[in-house]
Amino acid sequence: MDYQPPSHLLEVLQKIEYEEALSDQDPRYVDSQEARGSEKTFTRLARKFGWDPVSDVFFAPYEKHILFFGHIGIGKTTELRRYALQLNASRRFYVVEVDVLAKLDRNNLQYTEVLMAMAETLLERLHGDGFVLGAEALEPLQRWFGNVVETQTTTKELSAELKTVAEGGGGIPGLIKLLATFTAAFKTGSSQKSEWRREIRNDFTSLAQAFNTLIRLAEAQLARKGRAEQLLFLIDGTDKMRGEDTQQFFVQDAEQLLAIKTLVIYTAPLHLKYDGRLGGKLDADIVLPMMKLYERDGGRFEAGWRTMRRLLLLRADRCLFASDAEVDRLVEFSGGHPRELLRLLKLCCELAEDRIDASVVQTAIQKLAADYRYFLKPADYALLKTIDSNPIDAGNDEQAQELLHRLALLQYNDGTWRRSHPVVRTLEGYGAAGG
Amino acid sequence: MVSSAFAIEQARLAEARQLPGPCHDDFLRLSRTLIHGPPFQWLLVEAPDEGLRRQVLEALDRVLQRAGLRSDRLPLSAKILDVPMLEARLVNNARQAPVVHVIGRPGWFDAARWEAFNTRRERLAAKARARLVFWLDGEAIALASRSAPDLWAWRSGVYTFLPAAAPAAQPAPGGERPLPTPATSAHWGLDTRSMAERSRRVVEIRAWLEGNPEAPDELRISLVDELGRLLFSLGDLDEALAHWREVELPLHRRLGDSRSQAITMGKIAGILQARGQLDEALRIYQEEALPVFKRLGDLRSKAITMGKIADILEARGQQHQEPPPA
Repeated sequence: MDYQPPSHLLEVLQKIEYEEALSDQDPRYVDSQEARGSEKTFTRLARKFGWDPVSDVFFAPYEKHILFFGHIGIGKTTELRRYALQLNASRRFYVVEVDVLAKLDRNNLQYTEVLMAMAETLLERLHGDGFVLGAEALEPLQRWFGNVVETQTTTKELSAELKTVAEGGGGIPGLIKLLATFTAAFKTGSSQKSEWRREIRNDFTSLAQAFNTLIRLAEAQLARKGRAEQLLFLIDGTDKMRGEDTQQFFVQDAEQLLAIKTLVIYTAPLHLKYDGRLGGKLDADIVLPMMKLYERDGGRFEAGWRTMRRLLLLRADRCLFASDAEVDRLVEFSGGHPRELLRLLKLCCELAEDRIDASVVQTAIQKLAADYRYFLKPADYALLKTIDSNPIDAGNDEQAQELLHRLALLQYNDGTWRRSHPVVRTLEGYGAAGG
Repeated sequence: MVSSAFAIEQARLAEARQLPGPCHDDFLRLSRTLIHGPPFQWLLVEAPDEGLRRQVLEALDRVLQRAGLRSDRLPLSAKILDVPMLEARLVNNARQAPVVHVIGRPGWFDAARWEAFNTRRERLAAKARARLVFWLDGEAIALASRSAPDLWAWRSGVYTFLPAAAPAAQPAPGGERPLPTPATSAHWGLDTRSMAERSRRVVEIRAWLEGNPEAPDELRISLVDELGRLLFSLGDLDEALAHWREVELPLHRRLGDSRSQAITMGKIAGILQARGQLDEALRIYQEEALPVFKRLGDLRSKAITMGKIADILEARGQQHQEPPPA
């Protein structure tokens, strides 16, 4: 049955969930490539992995670790899911999506457990798709676990069944179970967490080699079956780690990530791109741009307006708006940020009686602006005003990064220019700022 | 028992009107999203005044109860030692009730705790599937926006309940606040204002009347009249009845306006009639309203009143009773 957007305000309200990333099959999904000016984002990403989607020329690099940046809430996960579909469909890549949320504790995340989760998810996928790996693929990992199990304290936690796996039995299902025991312990903050982390760090070289062996032999098997030539891991959720964990993961432990010789995409917070500490180890080129409504010179960018209108009208039927002017005003004050558009829509649903008219929209804009008042300081308004008067002169100091992170400052066209959030420009603090 | 959608809406508006004026709109917003929004929401409420917070919470809980939504309270006391413990309590409380009020204590949330809370948001969304309402002060909310940016991006809304401005902050004598101007539609014919607009107007008029107790009766009367009609149209019959009896009628008497007195008595009788208190309603129509309209030669009002009397007689099965003399 064809999808019909909700035509009652309370139904719209009920379905606005900010924590929800749309699946690629969701009828509310809107292709935003043109609006973001990101038609080339996927092509660039694919080419970094050695595949040209246009000509289908393929020559994959041995390893590539790419960071995928973007503002909070602009649809990175949704977009990556689409990319994963395309990459999978190419039959060049076998994409393994690692759901960090489901498997690990994002509150305290290190490369050690991400590695375990990658291995576990890979084996789950292969097993689920009916691929069988020989003993030579599994044996190095099993042997590594066997060594760990020999240490007295960790052994206590493992059942006899898992000890058997660690000694070389159980095949893929057994190894999945063993890895799951580790990731579950990492997630629940078991007392073994620190100890296992130490074991992994102490013997990381062997573990990395074992994992690399598994990857190579899995790729050989996939190639033999004509399914894919390269594995590609998509690690989503690493853009939302704690500040210090983000630094530890992407900066201090970058060498450990790179020790896994494969293709990986990690989601990463936008401010990390500009704080200058990445040091060029990981590929930090790709930014998912915001949808833009205006060009840098102030001219309207119609593709952006079309997409945002469509996005809005898939969430709330057109009959709920007094006129097109209300739709456009909400789009305009979202600044091209999908979640901010949903936030404005939610406010309208809270405020309106039966229809969203001009006065409801105006109040919604004021209410959203009031949220920004909680953290903006006079110096922030001054910086925002300076940037607005010269969008290229953005600066990358801590203050600008903070404003980007909190959406008071929005970035367009892969970061070539920035502008303050339109609702912020309605605040008296902005009006009074020197800039 | 869950009330009808209309009754819930009436309750929401009625509770909002009992709160200080500045709280009216945000109470309506908050209660709407709690009742009609998705099962998981993280809502921030700035309510630094303890007395007002209690008042709003109680009003909210009454409305939620009518909507069939149980609420639970989780005070951030010293017994909750850290964020993991808070998370565990939230998960537990969310199993018991679809709405959990987390009552903040100044200083409990520092930057480090917000940061720790920030990284737990997905787990909370998965395991504490409830409307989590955090009652905090402005400082704690500001700190959340800085220290928990990802969680902040998930906020379902920020609502503010601040006490009405203290009398000292009111305009000085001689510089009184302007009289609220009624909309034309409120004066004549059908009131086309929405329920929320009417409810908001009630609060506005009440605030003005309370803030200007010395205003001349001639100035007050049109607002008092509008207020009564608004309360009636909002279905708040008890309030309307009390208003007509205790406020409007004495005012008409003081002004010597017998026609308006008779009209107001007719309105009172109308409510009594609707509630089945037919004897008292009949007495008012016959003894207090009809004689005035007769005396004034107001044929239209007289006819309407006689019609009402006939309705009551018919309802009592006295179709053949002699009508009152014309």
